[in-house]
Amino acid sequence: MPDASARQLARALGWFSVGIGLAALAAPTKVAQWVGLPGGGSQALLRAIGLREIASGVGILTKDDPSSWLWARVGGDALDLALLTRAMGDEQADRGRVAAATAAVIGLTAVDAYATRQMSQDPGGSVQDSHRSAPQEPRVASAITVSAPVGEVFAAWEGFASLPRFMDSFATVRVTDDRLSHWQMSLPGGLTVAWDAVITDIEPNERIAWRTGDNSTVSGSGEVRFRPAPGDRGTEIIFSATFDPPGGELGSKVAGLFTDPLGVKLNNDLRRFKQLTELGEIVKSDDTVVPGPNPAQPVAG
Amino acid sequence: MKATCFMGRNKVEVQEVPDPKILNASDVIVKITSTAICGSDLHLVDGYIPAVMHGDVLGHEFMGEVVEVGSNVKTLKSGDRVVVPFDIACGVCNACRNEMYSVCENSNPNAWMAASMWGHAGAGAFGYSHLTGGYAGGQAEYARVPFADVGPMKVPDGMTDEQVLFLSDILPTGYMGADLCDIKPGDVIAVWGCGPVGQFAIASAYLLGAERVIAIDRFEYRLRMAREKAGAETIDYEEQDVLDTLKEMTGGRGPDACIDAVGMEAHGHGPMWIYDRAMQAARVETDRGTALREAIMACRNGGTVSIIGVYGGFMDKFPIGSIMNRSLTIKTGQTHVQRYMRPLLERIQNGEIDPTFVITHTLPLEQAPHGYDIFKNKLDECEKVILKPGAVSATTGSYAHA
Ligand SMILES: NC(=O)c1ccc[n+]([C@@H]2O[C@H](COP(=O)([O-])OP(=O)(O)OC[C@H]3O[C@@H](n4cnc5c(N)ncnc54)[C@H](O)[C@@H]3O)[C@@H](O)[C@H]2O)c1
Ligand SMILES: [Zn+2]
Ligand SMILES: [Zn+2]
Repeated sequence: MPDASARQLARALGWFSVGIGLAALAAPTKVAQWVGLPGGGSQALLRAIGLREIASGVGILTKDDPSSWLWARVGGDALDLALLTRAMGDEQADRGRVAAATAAVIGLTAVDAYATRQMSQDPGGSVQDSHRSAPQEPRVASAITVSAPVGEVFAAWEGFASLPRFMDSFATVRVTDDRLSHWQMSLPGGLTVAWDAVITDIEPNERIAWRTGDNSTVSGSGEVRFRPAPGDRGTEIIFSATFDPPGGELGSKVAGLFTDPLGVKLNNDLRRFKQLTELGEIVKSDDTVVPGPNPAQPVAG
Repeated sequence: MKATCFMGRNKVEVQEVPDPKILNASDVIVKITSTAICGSDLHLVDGYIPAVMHGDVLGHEFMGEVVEVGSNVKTLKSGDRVVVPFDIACGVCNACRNEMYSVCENSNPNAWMAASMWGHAGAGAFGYSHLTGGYAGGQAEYARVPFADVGPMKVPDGMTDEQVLFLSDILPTGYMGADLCDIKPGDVIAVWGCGPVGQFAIASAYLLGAERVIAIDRFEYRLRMAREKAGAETIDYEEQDVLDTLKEMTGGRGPDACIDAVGMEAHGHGPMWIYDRAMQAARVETDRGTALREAIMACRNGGTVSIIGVYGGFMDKFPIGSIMNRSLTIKTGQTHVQRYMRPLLERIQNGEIDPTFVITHTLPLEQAPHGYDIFKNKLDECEKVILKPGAVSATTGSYAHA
């Protein structure tokens, strides 16, 4: 039975793949140094490995049956092992590092194989809604262009009064009065963070700024900027928030999590605001009504 | 209702599923009278597109009768006969206003997934994985169709399903493939792939003024169709070296434009082919490049390579040097079906093109698995399969061969 923990492991490996992949693509030389491979010639290979990692990572994260993409990881690990073994024989390679990297890959291969076996036992486990617990950068931001004039878009935003209509991916928002709103965010592992947002400044058609109030498990501040998009394309909205981790375990956990995945969630919400403004309603698909496989699933039996 | 469901890699089954419902005010429900299997469906079923889930309803080429209408639909009513574009587009965003419907900014509720693969997201599409929104597909008895005033086009009286069904995808796709080539008088166009999309690319290249069209494949019956029905000269790539033959046929210049109507599951020979299969199996790359690489290498200096075959992710050994040093232009995209539907309907009505020539098999919906089998494995000279919901009782166990 692929219990929650098997799925969590698959998820972690998925994000791990994406992370490694991006690193190998962006900084192949660094990664090469890190695993002890000589520079130059190994870059193309590392880039290829990077692409494979991203593809299998996304596959693991988005497939309802991640096992086939997990097997791809195992296959990939085998390839990496072969590579590293060859590097061991290479004159220029730093044997110590290559050995360490090889050990790490062997370990990973075991973990991959384990996760794959667990997931293969019941391919039904979904690994959507995943979050990466990633490097510390407690700023989250996202931007979108809405094809309507700034005045209209700013008015539709209504201070924060419109937020409950489209914010539910990043956080759920309850608006108490025209300056005060209550935000609640669910994090992986059953953690919940809540804060009051107090609007500190409104510049019509340009900016709404806020900071957290007293009843908050995090403290921070943020702003929403509005500006005309060049070429008559409407209005650009840039939403950003910075959180100061208050210290302690919760704080750093929270800080660690306020990164890309939250940006993605924030972007989901901004897209919904765009739909409301441009179309008058939020677009639904079978997937948004019942997340996961189509609700037009075969009727049981 | 009955629907064709993805039940795992290479496993398609017709299952009983709940009927679709109106979810947005601009939706209609269509009772499907004809639907088709596409080369794009093969990429899904073969497992090369991520985020397909067990039970997902397949199919993106369909037409039928409107049976239920959302409260905000202005141009359609119950009883209207419509053909539906495979890409879902809102009609009002910046992309739609520029007729770039397949990159609509509002129709993909799972945009985040697509953006994590591709940097930005494209439009939603029917029955085409959760990356494109998780919309149930149209190889079924009914389908929910969003943005009913934007996508679906009413079918004029007196036209058969077979005449207009392919306006949902492959006719506009072949046409866009040729349109992207910016064809000038005297141009020689080469088309890789003689599947249904390739056939329409050939025919469209002639409609747009090409002097000669050369088609490449390895299945003789498909090459024959390209010669006899679409008017191409042909190359069997198992018999002839494609690059050498094209040089000879074009006085050494190479074709003025090359159209890739093959996509990510390209077949091939030699070390590159083995390399691609291995890399794809290990997921080092997701897309096999035998056809596209060849199209690039073949193109004349300063020419255009038009990619309408579908690619999903990453390709290895992409000949960027050939593109850069020889001033090639690459043009591509999922088809902006809504842009081409009406002008192509007129061309069908004027008798300039008769898209029914690609149909080789008409099957009841229940035989969709058989349809996938013969289409994928090129059995029984299969070129294009049409499925008919509700046509089972009389024809169970057999299929019409047009
Ligand atoms: N851009 C779009 O919006 C869009 C729409 C529809 C289909 N498509 C894509 O168009 C492609 C073709 O679709 P189809 O329905 O015609 O599929 P198909 O599978 O029937 O046709 C593909 C053909 O390519 C041939 N082929 C394979 N390798 C080749 C090679 N190396 N050289 C020459 N020919 C080769 C095959 O033998 C086959 O006949 C697919 O990738 C499909 O996904 C794109
Ligand atoms: Zn299609
Ligand atoms: Zn749009």
